[in-house]
Parts: sequence; C-alpha cells; structure tokens
Amino acid sequence: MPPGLQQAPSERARLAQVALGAALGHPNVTGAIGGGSFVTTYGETRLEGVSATAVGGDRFSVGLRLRVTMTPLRPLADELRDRIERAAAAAGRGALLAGIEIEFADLVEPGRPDAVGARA
Amino acid sequence: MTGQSLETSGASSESSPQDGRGATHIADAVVMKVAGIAAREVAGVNQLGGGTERALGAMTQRVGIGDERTQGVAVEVGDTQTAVDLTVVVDYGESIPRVADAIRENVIKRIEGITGLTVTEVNVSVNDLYFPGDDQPEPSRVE
Repeated sequence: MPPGLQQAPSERARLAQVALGAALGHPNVTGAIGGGSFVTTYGETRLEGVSATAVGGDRFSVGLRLRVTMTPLRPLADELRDRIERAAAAAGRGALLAGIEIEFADLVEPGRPDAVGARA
Repeated sequence: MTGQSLETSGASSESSPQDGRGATHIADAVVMKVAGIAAREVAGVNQLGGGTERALGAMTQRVGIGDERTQGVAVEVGDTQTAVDLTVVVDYGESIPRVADAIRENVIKRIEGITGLTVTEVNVSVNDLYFPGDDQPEPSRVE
C-alpha cells in the first residue's frame, strides 16, 4: 500500500471497534487490556483489548478483556452485552455479531491511582 | 477452618459460565483483589502476607510493580466456585477467632456479591501479631 494511505478497516475490525467503544463507554469500565489474542489490527491501527473471530456465515464472535470498578460482575457483563448489541445494530452491523465473550481481568477501587488509569 | 470440596477442574484459572450470548471469565487476579480488600476491611487486621512476602512487597511497591491488595492472598477459581487462603497479621489485643470469623464472613460476602462465585472455603492463617510502635525505630542509646 502506498505510504500515506490509510487502510480501510474490514467488517471484522469495524465490529471490534464498535464493541470496544461501547464497552469503554460504560461508567464501570475503566480500560481495556491488550495482549495475546485480545488485539485487533488494521493498517497501523491497533485496538487493544478486543478480538473479533470469524465463526462462519459472515459472523464474528467478539472478545473483550476489561478493567472495571468494584461492582457486581455478572450483571455488568449482561449490561455490556446489551450495550454492544445496541451499538452494533446502530452501526448497521448487528447481523455480524455472534457471541460476546467478556473477560474481567482487573479490578480498580475508587480513589486509587489505577482507578483513573488510561483507557488503553 | 475448611469447608466442602471445590467443584473445579483444578487447572482452570478463570470461571466461564456460558450463556447463549457468550461466556464471562473472571480472572484469578480479580478474585484475589476482592479477597484482599475484603480482609483489610475487617477491624483488627493490620496487614496481609507472611514476613518474607511483606518485606518483598514493600520493595516491589516502592518501585511501583507490587500490589499490596493481593499480598497474602491465594485463590483457586473454578467454573462456579472459589476457595481462598489468606495470611494475615492481627493487631495485638484482638481476639484472633473473632477476627478470623469476621474475615471469613466479609470475604464470602464480597466475593459472592461481586463475582457471583460461590466461596467454598476461606482458610485464615495468622502469621504474626502487630504491636503498636513495632514500626518505629528504636531510640539510639547514645547521643
């Protein structure tokens, strides 16, 4: 690709972007943690903390690895799935979404320095 | 200080109850932090960890790589259950059985409330007693 041209994200990458944005918009989510399979790249852009895996039939399973505040985690996972499904539908990509796997990898306490950490 | 056996594969480090919309995993580190924070909330708990662990923890925290919330905490996490081992230092003068019971109660309440995992056992090991003034340097005998 000639230098200076930005590669357009694939449907997979767009879905990952929408899912990550929706998750990070939740007030109890303080960041996403990349590494391993939880990275989605397109062009020079890296989306840390999210994966989108093809499961057949032009559908993708989304995975998120998150840092969250002290809150009941099972209800939070359900809320995040709702938000992501709504965001994907609003972006015209609801039909692409298969399942949403959520990993709670870290927890922050209100008032601690890591509670206001970077949204990776 | 033990309960029933843990229904787990033993090797699993995450819990992953699956529903139709995808799995939810809770990392061991999350359960450890909740347990550590819950134990520290109990009156009479001075700090967590064994002697060596506390000394190493003080050094690693000073350089910003340690986390005192998981010091003295070990967990085994299964699909739906977890077991917790805690090493604590108790304030001198407190009733150790009372403090141990209070730790157990608070750790169970917090872990079950936050993670949804059932806590099968909380093993509390009292490693040391803290005397007020322990952390102050001894006055010099000479001027």
